[in-house]
Amino acid sequence: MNDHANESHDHHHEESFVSKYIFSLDHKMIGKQFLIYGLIMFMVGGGLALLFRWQLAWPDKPLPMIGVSQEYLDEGEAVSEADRRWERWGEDDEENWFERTMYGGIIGPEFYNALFTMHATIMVFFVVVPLLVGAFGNFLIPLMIGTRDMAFPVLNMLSFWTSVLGAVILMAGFFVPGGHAAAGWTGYAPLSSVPDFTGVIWGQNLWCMALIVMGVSSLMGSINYITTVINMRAPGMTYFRLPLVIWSLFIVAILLLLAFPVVASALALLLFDRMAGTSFFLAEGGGEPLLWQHLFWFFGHPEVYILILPGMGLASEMISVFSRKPIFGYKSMVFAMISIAFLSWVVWGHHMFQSGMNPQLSMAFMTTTMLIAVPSAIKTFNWLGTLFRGSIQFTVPMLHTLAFVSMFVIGGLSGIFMANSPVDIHIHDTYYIVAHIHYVVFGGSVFALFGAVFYWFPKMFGRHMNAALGKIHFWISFIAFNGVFFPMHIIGVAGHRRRIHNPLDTDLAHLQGINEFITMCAFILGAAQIILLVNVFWSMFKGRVAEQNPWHANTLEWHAPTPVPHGNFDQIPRVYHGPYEYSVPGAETDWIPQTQSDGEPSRDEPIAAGATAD
Amino acid sequence: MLKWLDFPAWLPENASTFGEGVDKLFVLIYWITAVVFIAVMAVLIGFMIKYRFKEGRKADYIEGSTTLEITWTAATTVIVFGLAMLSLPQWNKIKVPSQFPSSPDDVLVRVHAKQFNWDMTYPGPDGKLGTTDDLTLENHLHVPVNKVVHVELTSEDVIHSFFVPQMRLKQDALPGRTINVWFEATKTGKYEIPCAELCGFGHSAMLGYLNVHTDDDYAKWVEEAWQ
Amino acid sequence: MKIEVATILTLIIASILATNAIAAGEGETVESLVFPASYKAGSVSNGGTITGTVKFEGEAPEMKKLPITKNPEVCGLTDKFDKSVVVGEGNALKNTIVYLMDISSGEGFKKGAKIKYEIDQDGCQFDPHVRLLPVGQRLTMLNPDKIMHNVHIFSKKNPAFNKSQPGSRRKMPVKAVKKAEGPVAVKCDVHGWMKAWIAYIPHPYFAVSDENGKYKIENVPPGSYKLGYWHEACGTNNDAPVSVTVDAGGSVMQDFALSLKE
Repeated sequence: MNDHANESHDHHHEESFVSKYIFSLDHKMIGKQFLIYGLIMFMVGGGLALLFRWQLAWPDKPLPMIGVSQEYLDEGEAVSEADRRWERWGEDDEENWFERTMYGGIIGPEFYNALFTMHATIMVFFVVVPLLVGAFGNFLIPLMIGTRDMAFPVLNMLSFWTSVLGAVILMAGFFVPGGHAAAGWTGYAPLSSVPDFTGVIWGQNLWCMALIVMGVSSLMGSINYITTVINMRAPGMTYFRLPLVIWSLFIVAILLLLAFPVVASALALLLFDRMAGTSFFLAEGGGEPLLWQHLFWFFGHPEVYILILPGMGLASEMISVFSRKPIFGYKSMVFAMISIAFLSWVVWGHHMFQSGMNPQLSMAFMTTTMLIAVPSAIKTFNWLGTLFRGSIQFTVPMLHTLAFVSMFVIGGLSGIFMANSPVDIHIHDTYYIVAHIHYVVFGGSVFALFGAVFYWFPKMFGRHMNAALGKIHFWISFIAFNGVFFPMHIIGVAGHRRRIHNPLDTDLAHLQGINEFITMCAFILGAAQIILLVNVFWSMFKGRVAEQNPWHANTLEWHAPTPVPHGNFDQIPRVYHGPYEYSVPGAETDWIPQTQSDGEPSRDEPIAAGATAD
Repeated sequence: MLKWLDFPAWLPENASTFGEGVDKLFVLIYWITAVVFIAVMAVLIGFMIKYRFKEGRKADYIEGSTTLEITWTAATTVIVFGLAMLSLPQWNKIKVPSQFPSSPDDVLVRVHAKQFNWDMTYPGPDGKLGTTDDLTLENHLHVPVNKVVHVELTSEDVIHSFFVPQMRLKQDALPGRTINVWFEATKTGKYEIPCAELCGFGHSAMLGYLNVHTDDDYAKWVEEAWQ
Repeated sequence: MKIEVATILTLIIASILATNAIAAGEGETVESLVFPASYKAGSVSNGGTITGTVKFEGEAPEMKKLPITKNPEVCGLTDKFDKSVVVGEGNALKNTIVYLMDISSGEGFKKGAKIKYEIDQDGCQFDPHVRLLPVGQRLTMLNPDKIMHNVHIFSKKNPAFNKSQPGSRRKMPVKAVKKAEGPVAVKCDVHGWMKAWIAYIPHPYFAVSDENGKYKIENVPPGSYKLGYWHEACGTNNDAPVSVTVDAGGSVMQDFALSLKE
């Protein structure tokens, strides 16, 4: 892939294609594999969303190009080639896939339910986690803490290939009779636990298995991250000299390690209910439908923070570099993340305010949930503080970071509505929650991720991404994103329930114009991602060759040569100070790499002001 | 454009006694979050413009401020705790059974959810459910205006959610459990009762109607129904 | 590694344990038809005919009008009635299946483009109310209503079928089944009042009485047979089938008089 790569490989044995690109043990290659894998799944998950957005905007209308004509729908007489094709398939004795899933090119309720279920499942488990935690965790942790590789390289490789296996199992679900899982990504029992309630047979089983396999992959990754961060930091790299992104990934790894076993047991119970005739979640068999929700959300809420914390970390790196300023309140940033992680274990009940859980519990869950606003606000104000009196460079990563901050503010504030249990009575299970989750995960994590891809691309591939394409992609995505998700707040307040196949079944016709607008924006948003893909793959081979430290950043990965050789550093670096020493008065440059000892102002003192806890 | 930003205006018309309290909380949170949002965005955009990169100007070396950290931590904590305290009575009033209003005039009805219909069972002249004079009507709930209506919510198969947007009432119906909720309609009319929890492929077609009658009309309906 | 192995083991055990999924749903217990243990299809020459009339005994109950509680703009255009007992002029009883219980060989099912196995849902009502469907034959559900219906077939021996038919889908095929069964109930879960019956039949010697109570079984190979009936509300004569003898080219008359099940 890169001519320079082999030069620095002199002292290593020649690697075959397979051991270098496929079953690689190198954390950087595994990170890149996760990146490509995540981007591919991102396209799949996005494509599914576009399909069901079509149905929401133009209910029961055939898809353009592949669907039947309107005349055929009205009159029943085949007029176009497509009509005849569908008619032929309809009369064939052998059922074909298209006929079964979207007869006539119309997205029926079963396929619709499978679409949104798989959209969320893919985006949550197979896109955001692999990209944020898999790609950036793998690539950045050893480089940023100053070590040669992960603690367990083989486990690391297995983690990637297990997640590929998970994706394969998940995708297989689309092609089994009965269709794919259609009980929502939350898979509420007993809808998910009794095949007859949905008509889905193997789809749901495969969904369970894929998630378990994916969880095993995450577990392997998280064990690796935790061990590596604890044991393999370079000399001088104390915990409070770790970059915030490493902190966030470290916390996320702990969350994953603790959260996954809970959902794995829930999924196993679900499989037993489906396949072995048990009734853990069936009331008539002595089971309890709410048990699933408790288990799922006990995992699910930490999972939501698993999705956002790395985004916060990535954004913190970029905002500091491009403001040329230390991050404002480094330690309070760390403690905010730790408290978010702690609080994430005691808020799961806010998903269940209307579920029939004892209503008296809601007070406790409402309070803990509201409390999460506090560390979130601290982080937001600290990002603003970082900008204050900075020297802001509007590079592509910085644009994404600023978008991240503002979108996260919207997502955080809309969360207060949901956290408030009386208000939640009305907006629970409406598009309001859809808007909220997308502002946090898409507006937040994914924008931070786009920025991070752009920011670390030079280190990953030794080349820059194209800035002009990056800006075009950013602006289209940013505007279209808001066009898609902001109106969802409104239709949610107006009573548009989520997960409905046809909004016109109920009294929502006055909102249909908004639905159409959302869908049009969604198509623009989807199309814009092609620009990103083109930019990524084109730049890998043709981009401007990158220098070692193009952004003039302090952290250790920029100390490593570009492209980064096997083993990362010629010599393990020694760390003299924190990661955010920008614009230090009196220094020659406006950045001081963590490895630089001269001119280091406060070597033996706490790094951040306000850090009295030491 | 402004209309799009005015969330409260999009709320469906309120027609229940406790709906007003919910709406007030909604409006309160709306204004708090709107002010915070505008303030944060103003600061963010202000900083972006003021502190943008200029040749020859160096950023200030500021590592943080303990005073500021404490200030905004304390301020946020006070606001969210205040909100939680304000919400508690509302929540208890709507959802905690021990605080439900109760009088002999109250109307009792059992709503049994099943894929993909609501069965409304009325207790009949004896006022008791589970007796022979019960009447079950599919999808149509008839209640008098200005009377407390107690709903016993059950489910046949999967989890459904009893949602009446105009009553500001939503409650999941669980198989194997009876959940009690109540409402008191303040306006006559016909309101939709959609299902708010995914219940299968017929989810979006699962729809009942709440018919709120004047006292006279309700008496007439009772007479016709039981003849 | 260990965790992975444990998970895989768990999955394998789960699959071994795997039995048929629990069939949830309202399976009404109705008496079933009696099918021959095996049936050999061939050609029949000079077959006989069994005809007759099915009558309702006693005072015919009035058909109950069904309340239309959903989509009245489509479903409410015509009145809908409970069709469990449909009695016509002269107490003629419609929708009774009359059939040969113990025939082991005879002709095969007629084939041809004109023979269609359909159930129409026009106006939110299944038509016909009782549908005979040869085993191995695809059923087509028609939906001219432009609103969503749901075809829920409560089979027990065969896989249950439960699928939506959106308003945009005029025709929906229902996969052919492999075993003789029935009659099984067909319902629409969206419109609770819609109900019909399907009998999956292994041989063609079945008939359903029409509005005049008449039925006709044709081309029966000469021989003696047990003649059975089935009616939704009146039950069956499985305990005491009628014996009939069919002569080559001959014709047998057999009338039935049915009353409501206890």
